[in-house]
Amino acid sequence: MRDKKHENRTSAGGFAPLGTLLLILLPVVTAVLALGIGRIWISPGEVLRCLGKLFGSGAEVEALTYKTIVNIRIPRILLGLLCGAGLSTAGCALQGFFANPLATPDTIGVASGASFGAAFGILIGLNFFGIQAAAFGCGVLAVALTWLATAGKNNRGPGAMILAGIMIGSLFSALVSLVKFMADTESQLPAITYWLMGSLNISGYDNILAGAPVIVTGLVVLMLIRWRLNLLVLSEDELIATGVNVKALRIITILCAAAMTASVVAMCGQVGWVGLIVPHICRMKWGSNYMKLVPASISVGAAFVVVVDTLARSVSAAEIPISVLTAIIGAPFFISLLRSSGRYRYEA
Amino acid sequence: MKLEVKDAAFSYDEERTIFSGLDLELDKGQVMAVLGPNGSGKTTFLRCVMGMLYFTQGSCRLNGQETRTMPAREFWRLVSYVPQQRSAQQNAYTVLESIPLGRSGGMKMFARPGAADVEAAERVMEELKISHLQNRECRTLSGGEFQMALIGRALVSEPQLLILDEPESGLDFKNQLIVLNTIETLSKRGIACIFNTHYPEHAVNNADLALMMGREVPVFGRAKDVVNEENIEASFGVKVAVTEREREGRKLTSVIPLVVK
Repeated sequence: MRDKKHENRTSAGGFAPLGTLLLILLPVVTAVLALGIGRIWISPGEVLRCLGKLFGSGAEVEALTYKTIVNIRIPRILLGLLCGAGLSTAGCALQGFFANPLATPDTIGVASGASFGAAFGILIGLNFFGIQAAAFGCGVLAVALTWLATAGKNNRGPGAMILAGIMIGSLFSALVSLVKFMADTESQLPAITYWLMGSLNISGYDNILAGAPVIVTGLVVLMLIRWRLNLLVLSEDELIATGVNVKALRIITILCAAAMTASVVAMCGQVGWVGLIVPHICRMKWGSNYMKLVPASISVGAAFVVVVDTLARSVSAAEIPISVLTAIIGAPFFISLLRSSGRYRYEA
Repeated sequence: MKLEVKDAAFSYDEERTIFSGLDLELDKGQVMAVLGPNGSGKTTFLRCVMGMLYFTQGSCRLNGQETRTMPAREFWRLVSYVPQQRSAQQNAYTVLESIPLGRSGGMKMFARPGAADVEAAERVMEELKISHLQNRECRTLSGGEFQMALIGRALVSEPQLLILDEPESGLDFKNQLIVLNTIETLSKRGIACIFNTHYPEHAVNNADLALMMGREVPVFGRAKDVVNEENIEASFGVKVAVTEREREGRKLTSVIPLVVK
């Protein structure tokens, strides 16, 4: 629970140094443990020796272990950290943007748009990078359409944008179905279906490098404006009366959220629920102040996806699609937290 | 600080003119009450002054500068707005987290409140006597407490003009008096205040100037002159008795509604 007494010193309401340290350690420790788990079991000590060797210490490690860690598991876990941090932070920013606790990256149509881009890319036989580019492009296009649908002289407010986003989202979902319908049932349809279920199983570092800069930039910008995100929750007149550049703040927020979501979907397909579950878990634990909510979402989101993906690749011989597990693990976890935290009031 | 509105009008379309020919002047440290029946354009008038709506005719100048062409950032450096406690977002932020948000307009996009901002917030809370509420979440506050927190958020940017939308509506006697006394104290410090009110008595006893809406051309003048039996009857359609008495060394006016015309 929050320590009220210690909170007064920082009126901005950020984490104290110890809290910050724990937030940094959470995904790091999770990642190190996850590096050891898989078809080949590697102890945390061995993992650390491998990491040491990677960064230039003269540690002695078995060649196979080293290869497994460096070539297979590190890229995958890095991707998991990025996706988790990106999706949950996008979700938490959008909940503020819409002042609505149900807002998720899909509320503005971006996830459906990106899915369509990827499905279409598979249909016309693009290579992996082509698919990523198509997914990213269509994701951003979907947000642009949502924005345009409500933009104009009359200020229709965030409520109208949620509606427009849901419409654009369902439009792109329909287009995904159309692509599936047109796809070759032997090769393309399964590829599209698996891709839509989401997987962090991508090969090597170069694929991550395509999406990572977008996600990292989005995270950095949202971290920088996190105190200001609190303003978005205010009513429209209150927000205008603060004198801040409301339009710029809104555009920056939605652009970061949309670009991060689009690049996550571009790299690993639809990883559902992270953008909804993780921010709410953080709200229950640390309250609604974005000074805490943004760093907490980054940390918890990153750790959550790594944990879920580690289970996805290790509980059975065949990999389980990650979207299946985020819901199966996330839903009960979320409900039990909800029931145990009496003061939580589902507000954005 | 000087606010001048000249020959201002507002209409939604050709048939529905809310008001026209509105003239007023407000100087440093003056308090102006805006009176009028429901739907007479009190809030519309405030929103026009604040640039959330535009007068369809006439001019509105702040310190000689047309507000319409003033950059928002500059306007809100001089002016603060206190929303109605009932329509403001009663959120999960503590009072101490919420008050510095009032200074965000003067800060750079990536800036966060620093020591000076915290001090300003603490000073404002002390002045408003709400320091004991600092760690309470806004949504757990009573109406009166929340109204004071909202005034705090508006004051923390050190405005020259404070605009309050029905600041005493929905509050009990004591809290109404606290809000009205706060307005008086602020005006003595040189801050001009405009407040909307449903209480003619608050206008006459607590404001220097009054604007009475409810007729096509609103009446503006010294509060004591504007709030009289004829004007109230013409604007509100209610026959009233206006009486004066002296209590606690103050001349107080009471307005008693008698009958609907």
